[in-house]
Amino acid sequence: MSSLYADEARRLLREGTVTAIFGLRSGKEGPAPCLFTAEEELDALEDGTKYPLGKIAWRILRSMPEGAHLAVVCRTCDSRAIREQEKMGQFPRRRVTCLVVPCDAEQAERCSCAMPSPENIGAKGQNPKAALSPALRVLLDAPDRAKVWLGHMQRCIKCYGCRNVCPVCVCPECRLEDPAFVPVTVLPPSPLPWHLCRATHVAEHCIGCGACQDACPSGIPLLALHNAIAGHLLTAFAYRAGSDELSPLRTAATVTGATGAAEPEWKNSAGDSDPFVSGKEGA
Amino acid sequence: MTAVLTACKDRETPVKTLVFACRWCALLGAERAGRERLLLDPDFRLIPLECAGALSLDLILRAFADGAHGIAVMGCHLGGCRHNEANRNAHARLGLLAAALHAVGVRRERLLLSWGTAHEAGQFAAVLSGFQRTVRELREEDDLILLRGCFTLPVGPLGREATP
Repeated sequence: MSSLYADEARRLLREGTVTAIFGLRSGKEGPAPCLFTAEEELDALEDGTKYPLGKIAWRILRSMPEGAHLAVVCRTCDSRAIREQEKMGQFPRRRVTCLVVPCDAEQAERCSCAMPSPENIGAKGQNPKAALSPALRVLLDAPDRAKVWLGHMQRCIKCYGCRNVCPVCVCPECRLEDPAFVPVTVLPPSPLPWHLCRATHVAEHCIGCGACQDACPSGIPLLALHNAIAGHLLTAFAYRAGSDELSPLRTAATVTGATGAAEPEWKNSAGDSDPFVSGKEGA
Repeated sequence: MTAVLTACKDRETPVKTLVFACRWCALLGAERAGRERLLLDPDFRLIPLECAGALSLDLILRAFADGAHGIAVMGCHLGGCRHNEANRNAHARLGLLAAALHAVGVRRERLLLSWGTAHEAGQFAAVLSGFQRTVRELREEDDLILLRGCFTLPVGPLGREATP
């Protein structure tokens, strides 16, 4: 199977615009990530499968020598993840070019993806919560969902797969490895300090690729949780991870500025007006 | 974190409310409420912070898992923060946490964010009592099982966390 970008990748390597191409290489056992440095190797380049390339690209980009340039053949989600890593300052800017392969409708539906084609990468797009499939949506709307979520989260085997595969989960020290925070011998881990801690840590960078859900051996529907949080960021701050804007959680202090007396005396989330949760039900 | 654990593991109090108060405004307001002998429900533990913006969301999640029934975060008025408007960041972050908790079915009434100043002792007492009343009403709600990470009957697999 050849790639949409095989010719362009060859051209980029021949002209020396990029030092290497990172993408999938077809093999007998199926596609596997590969770093192509020679033109003739590119015959094996393929892009027919969705593969979580973001985290591996991050490792390569961080260890790349000065002056090197990488091209990544990936899906829109990975290209937005790489954009987020760049925004976080994980590697110097202008080191990477993404050759973005569009996802077909079937794949987009499987991932509950709101922006499967490369044309609208920078756009705000559809609300990620609304893009969820009915099966996942019911997890966020059912009145007794706490029980359902607990049922899912109790299947967790603490394999750290969701964290390891996440392309935007890049802290050098992980809270989930802190024995004072997550007791080592406890299985399944307590749902809030484990799942919600991880989800809120990556929340502002989460591009909704669904790699965590795909990686989970217990089938915990993590994408529903992440899309709900991303939906909140979109409705509350008109912010979407993967865009060029800075995260509102980091800029709230500098952008909004002082408003002084215009603010209400006491903001009370327990009251009827509920002013600090903008992601209303059904949003 | 030790303070949070100590406050949450207290078995004497049936419904525990944890208050994170910024030491510039809300803590002074709380102290003033005490000096003025305002009527307060004693079932809360107050943990002073340098700033509401310094509070990590992890700590709130840990406190819920360790036995808190409701958590209030109190800081200076928006626009009156001593640390370069850091309470606006707290505002944005807690909104995100509330959305995440709501998504998995935890009642968002369990989390309160409130702004006040040092002289607003009466308001501190009123907001806190109102919040404690709300949390008390939520006592039997089924989202507790998710907070604590186990079903109320001992049906979970071995090694699950002990509940208070």
